Amino acid sequence: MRVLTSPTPPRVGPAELTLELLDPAGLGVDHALLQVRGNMTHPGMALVAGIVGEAVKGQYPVTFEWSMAGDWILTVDGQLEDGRRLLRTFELRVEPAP
Amino acid sequence: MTETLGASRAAIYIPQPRPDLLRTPGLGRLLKWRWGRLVFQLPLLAVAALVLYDGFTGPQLAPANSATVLVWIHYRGLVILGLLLVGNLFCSACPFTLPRTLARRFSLAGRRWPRRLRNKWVSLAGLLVFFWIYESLDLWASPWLTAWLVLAYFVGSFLLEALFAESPFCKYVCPLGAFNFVQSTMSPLQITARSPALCLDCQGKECVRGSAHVPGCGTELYAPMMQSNLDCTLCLDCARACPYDNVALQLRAPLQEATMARWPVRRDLSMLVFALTFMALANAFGMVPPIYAVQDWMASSLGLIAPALQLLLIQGTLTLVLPGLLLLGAAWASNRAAGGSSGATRQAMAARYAPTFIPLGLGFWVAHYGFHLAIGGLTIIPVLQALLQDHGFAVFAGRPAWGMGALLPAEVIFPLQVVAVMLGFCAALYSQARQALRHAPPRPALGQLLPWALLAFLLTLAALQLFNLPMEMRGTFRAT
Repeated sequence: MRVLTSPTPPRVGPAELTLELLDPAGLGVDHALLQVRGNMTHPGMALVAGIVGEAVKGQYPVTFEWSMAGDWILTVDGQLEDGRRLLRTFELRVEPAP
Repeated sequence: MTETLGASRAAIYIPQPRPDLLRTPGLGRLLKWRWGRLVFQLPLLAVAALVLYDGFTGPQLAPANSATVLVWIHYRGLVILGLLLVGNLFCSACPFTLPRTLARRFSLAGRRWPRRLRNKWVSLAGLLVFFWIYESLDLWASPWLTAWLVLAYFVGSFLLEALFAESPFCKYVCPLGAFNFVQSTMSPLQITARSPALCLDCQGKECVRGSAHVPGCGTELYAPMMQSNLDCTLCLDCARACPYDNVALQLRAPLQEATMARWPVRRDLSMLVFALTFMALANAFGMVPPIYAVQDWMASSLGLIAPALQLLLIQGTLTLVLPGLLLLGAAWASNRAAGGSSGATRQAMAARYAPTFIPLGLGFWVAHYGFHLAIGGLTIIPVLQALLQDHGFAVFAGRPAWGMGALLPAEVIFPLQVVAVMLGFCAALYSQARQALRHAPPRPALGQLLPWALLAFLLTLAALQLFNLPMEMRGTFRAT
């Protein structure tokens, strides 16, 4: 799995993320139930939840909002169609708004 | 101590009659009760136990762990508000002193803290090291390291109490204590003697030496001579030990100490109170974008690559070298501007004006730590819900409401920060004017005042600029 961000690099404000979920053969995996949440590394910042859309060829669009510049940990938690659990974290640095 | 207790009538401080919290029905009785301190310590001991447990065993994501949220959001924010509105509440309810009390029973009694270390230089060094570790190890981002820090406090307090007869940890070592002592000089409550004359005839001096059941003052303060909250942990042991019920916890003007005439002429003390104002700025500076530019410059120009060394240099410069030079420079300029009429040495001038920066620093601390509390005060709720859920108490906890965060709307936080900074600036200016007019006629007083007022103005500008920058939650990935 990998995460693509738009804009790149991530900046404070609304963002479109794409979660790319591939099987070992490199084919897209659809129909996973995914949740995306973003936490800053500093305590005391409210969690930001992403809204995950329908997947097409393993590409899951996520509507998200980076609420502050700094270091973020993006957690993707979910279940594949065959019942296996999926849990991955990604470290991202978010730049201040232009 | 003998000299202190044998003080003459002239040394006795006679306070203005003011409301006494220890005479408040119900509350006064609770505070003076033999176990009164324990009532306030036990809840904080429970919080410390939770911090240790969750820090070592819980999720290692700082916003999702009660250790990091409680210590870096709630403890810091509530400490500074407590100091501003009441007094040194957190030293009063400090849980680290509980095992310390146990240690006292096994103490190798009799040994005194070395004379050479009986000053504030150790505390000042401790504060510098604390802030350096905080920045370079990203303590705020690590529940595990936060728990180790709390454990180190328990162990340090226990060991020093076991090795020495007095309470050197509180008075000479603890960085948190040093912070609280200095800021509490702005607090509206202070220990005094109700009738100082009664103390002159007191033979037992139980407020310092202790009685059969209650220890005396751990930091060896003598109630009728106290003009300052400095070194007072507000434990109220003096009030419990006094057989004449002669100790009061009186209301006073918050700027009483910053404007008082007899602030001790001690280099260590002047430097500590002055440096703490700069530490407020340095601590906030560590969280905003320009620190990257400084670190990049250090790497390219000085060849200093290691972030820990970069931060040591930044912290050391901002919190020790710069305030040291500015304190000396302002004292020199103040003497010069007064036309040599002040009759005070540079050291005396520094001791006179350094405390006037405490309200300024307090405004900075309130703006910084108040920001975190305001923007993240409610995040503890989902964190505790998740903790309970993880331990099989989902029924009581409910589903963690991870969206909870701010105590106040985001748009009011910056204006409130500006208010805190400006109030601190006005209080500093007022204190400086009072000090100047106390020691000189208006014209030379203005000259004497100017360097300090200019410095306070520049620091205020720097603070406003800092708090107006976007906060970055600096560097956890970059440092690793």
